[in-house]
Amino acid sequence: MTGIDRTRVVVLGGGTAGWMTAAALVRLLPTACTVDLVESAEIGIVGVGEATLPHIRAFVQRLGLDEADFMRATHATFKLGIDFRDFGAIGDSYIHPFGTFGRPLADVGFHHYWLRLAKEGRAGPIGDYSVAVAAAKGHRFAIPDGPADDLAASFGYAYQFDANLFGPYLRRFAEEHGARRTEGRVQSIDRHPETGDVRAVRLNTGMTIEGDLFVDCSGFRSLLLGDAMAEPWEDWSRWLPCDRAVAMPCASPAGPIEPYTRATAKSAGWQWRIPLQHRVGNGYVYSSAHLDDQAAADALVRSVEGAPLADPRFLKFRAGRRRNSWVGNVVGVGLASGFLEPLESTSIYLAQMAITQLIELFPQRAGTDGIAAGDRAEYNRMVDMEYDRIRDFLILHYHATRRDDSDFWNHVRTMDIPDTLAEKMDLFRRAGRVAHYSQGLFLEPSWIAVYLGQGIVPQAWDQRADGPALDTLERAVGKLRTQVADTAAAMPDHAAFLAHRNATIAA
Amino acid sequence: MTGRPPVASIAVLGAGIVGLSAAIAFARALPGLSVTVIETPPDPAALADRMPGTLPSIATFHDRIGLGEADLIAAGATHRIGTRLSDWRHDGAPLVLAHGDRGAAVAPGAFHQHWLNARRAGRVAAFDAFSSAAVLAAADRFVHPSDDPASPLSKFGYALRLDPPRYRDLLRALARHLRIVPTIGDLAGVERHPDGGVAALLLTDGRRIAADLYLDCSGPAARLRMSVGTGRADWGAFLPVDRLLIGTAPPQPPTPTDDLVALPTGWRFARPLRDRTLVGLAYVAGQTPDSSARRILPAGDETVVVAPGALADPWAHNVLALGDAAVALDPLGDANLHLAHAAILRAIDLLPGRDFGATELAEYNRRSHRQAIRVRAFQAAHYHPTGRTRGPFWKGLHRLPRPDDLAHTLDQFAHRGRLPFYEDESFDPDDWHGLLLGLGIMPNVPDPIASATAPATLLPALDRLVDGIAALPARLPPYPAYLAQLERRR
Repeated sequence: MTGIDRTRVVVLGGGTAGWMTAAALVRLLPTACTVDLVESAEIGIVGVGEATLPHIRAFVQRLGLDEADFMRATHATFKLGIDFRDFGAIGDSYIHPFGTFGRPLADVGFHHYWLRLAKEGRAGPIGDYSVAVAAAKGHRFAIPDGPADDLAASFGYAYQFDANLFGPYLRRFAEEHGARRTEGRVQSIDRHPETGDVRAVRLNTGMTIEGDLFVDCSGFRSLLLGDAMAEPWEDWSRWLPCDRAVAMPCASPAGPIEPYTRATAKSAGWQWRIPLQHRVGNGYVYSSAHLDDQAAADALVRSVEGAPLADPRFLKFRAGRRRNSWVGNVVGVGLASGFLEPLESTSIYLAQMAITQLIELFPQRAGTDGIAAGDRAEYNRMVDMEYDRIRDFLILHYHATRRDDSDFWNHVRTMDIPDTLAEKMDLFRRAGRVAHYSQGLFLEPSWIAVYLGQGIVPQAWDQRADGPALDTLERAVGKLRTQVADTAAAMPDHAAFLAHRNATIAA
Repeated sequence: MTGRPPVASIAVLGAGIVGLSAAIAFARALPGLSVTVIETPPDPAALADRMPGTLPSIATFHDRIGLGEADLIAAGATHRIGTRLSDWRHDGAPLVLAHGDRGAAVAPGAFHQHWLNARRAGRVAAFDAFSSAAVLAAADRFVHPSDDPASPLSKFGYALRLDPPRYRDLLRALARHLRIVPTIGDLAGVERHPDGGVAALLLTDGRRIAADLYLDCSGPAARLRMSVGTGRADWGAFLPVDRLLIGTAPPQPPTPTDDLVALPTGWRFARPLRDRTLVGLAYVAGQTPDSSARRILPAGDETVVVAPGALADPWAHNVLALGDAAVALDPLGDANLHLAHAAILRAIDLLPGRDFGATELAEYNRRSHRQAIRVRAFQAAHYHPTGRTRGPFWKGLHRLPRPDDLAHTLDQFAHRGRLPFYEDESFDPDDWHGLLLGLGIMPNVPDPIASATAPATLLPALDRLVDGIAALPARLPPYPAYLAQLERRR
């Protein structure tokens, strides 16, 4: 393919989303595009999502990054799930693991048998049957391995890393593979008078960067998708009222490094705690209608477990998304296209998903052939599907609660929820069934973890789970519990595993 | 016990293959369930009860009910590795639909995109030549797929070609073993609950049969299910065949390959069974009078009315429609029994309590609908007018409307060779690629990932693949010998 055939891509913004986009495009479509990334060192990055989901591994592998090198560079730790505290009720806690609960028996999901036993008081907490949960609690980690039905392969993992280092890491990679970086702030946007497509961005440095396809990674500012293309905003704050966060890293406390993220519900939102190799990330996500900034910052500073390493930093946002993520020749990736709060670490996933779809539907020779309307529509269909599912899953964490100790929790407990979520909850409440879908985030085990963890107890279970005699079942399930505990106990300590990894690279 | 009154009894209306399969699967899954099967006069239009073709998914269902392949072979079944469509393409070249991987990981990107690039570069073997299953099928050879992933004879699926009456006898025997003995009778009416559900079936001989759940397996008229609510969508606009003339011809040597041959008036099939060959002609009554059809297929002796369509809600109250009662398909594609099996297993997985809660039925109906419309899409794609144009049947196809999901699939595929994601697909991407490329739908735009590999590196790799696959059939015995070998081993 000649240079003239390539689609000239301009990525606006050099945060996590921007460099993820640039790195993926130059690596995976080396002959189909050229990539210019425009960023300004003056504009800070949000650095969303220090915690990630297991899907990130597919991104790392597809780019051909070396996991150990990437983890060392971003001070990353392993993540087996999220520990939710005080969500269903104050004092409750559960881990949403990246893995399954038990094993199906005679084609019936494990949790149905568990429901039957639990009702008789003859089973432990559901987490006792998840290797990911047991390992997380024991601060242990090993790379999942073995045949698919083996307990040692019954989980996945993600990373907790320093997002401020992830962008620069990908920047080096992207530049090595041919991405060009231009320093500057956008002064004006040149659009085609008839089609409205963006033709170029003019920078404060006097430079003009032309392109065929513009990827808006400008964060909440959404300079191209929101401002220039004026794509309407679909607001979800009636279901997800948190609109502020205050973040502050602190020194790691002595002791183990947890291979999980913690989310602790607070009176007007929740607080994250993300252990990295060299520090702990903390932040309070709250609703400004229920708590003022100073009170939030005070609460955060009071609660961190190590010496503060920076002043509290405030972020403003709102839940929702642009009606369409791809309009004309502008694609929004990351916060420029939408925002869902970080309760389930979805920010980086959403950017990754958008990039994956963009590559699937990449407009070749966009400079001469333009962009097919069908590709745009398909992209927007896929993005919608992902956002809607994640949205429902997040709302569940707030709505499924017995908390009545603050206006915030009273609001989310009693608010109207989307019909799609109401149906999913009813389905689970009736007999522990999870509405089925096969593509996208948060499949059956995730929903089970959150439903049960937040006190939605099914009234019944799969009739087939009544088959085995109760004593036989209790023995089998008890044996499984021991195997799960043994599997986790055989794993190395998480901090030791990391130290060994780093030492191996150094050598 | 589960926290709500469980379903303790079912009554199955219809004792054909679908009715018996449902009765057995429910009884296997729920020991203690009381199962009554009412053997109604068979509906000749219930294709799921009489078509011999199946898909590879049948093995899953047989596992669940405890039937092994040897039992089925003993009951007259043979292996089915693919279907050869002749005269279907505009150039008359045959295409073979077979289940399994096509090509190999020659370079980053999807294999079919590399194949397309090679074709654009001017020289490549037919797409079928890259599928070991399709090549075996074209040579009428079969072998069980190898467990060794490195073997070129792994990574494909196969199905069975049933001898429907003998298969039904086998199911009857299995049912009897589970103490389920069909009782002969016919539906005269139903007694309703105040909530709208069925309280009892009233049979013509005066008997009254009550159960918690009723399965309507009586064929496309769905007489029982229709008594508690209507809502059948007619798919005739998308699937033009409305008549099937069927008959029996003398036996042919067993083959793992079914033949579908396009004719000016529609298409005909030949399904070789052990002691006879089932033949059929699919056509449109408005174009071809039944008498002409009999001249075209002299062996044909029974005309069946085909009326594709589906119930929007196959499960309403305590009545669940299965098989043709839920979804009636075109006779193409061998998916009739596949859909029935999938529905039976789904109903067991989602079995509600005796209150038949609306959300639980809605989940069942939603998933069933998603699956059914994608089978419809796959069938309707066979009639895409890029293929043959000779004859009234084929000439009429370009006027055919397309369901939205198929239009979407065809647009994306014709544009860039991509298959948009749909939930609950029965046919995997390799199946779709084989069909769409086989019909000559050639995507316009090269795939950007695959295009990073230059033809110079690609073409030799493709040549090696083709040569390796082409050598496979000669290494295998003819199918009759293979089958005889299996039978000796028993």
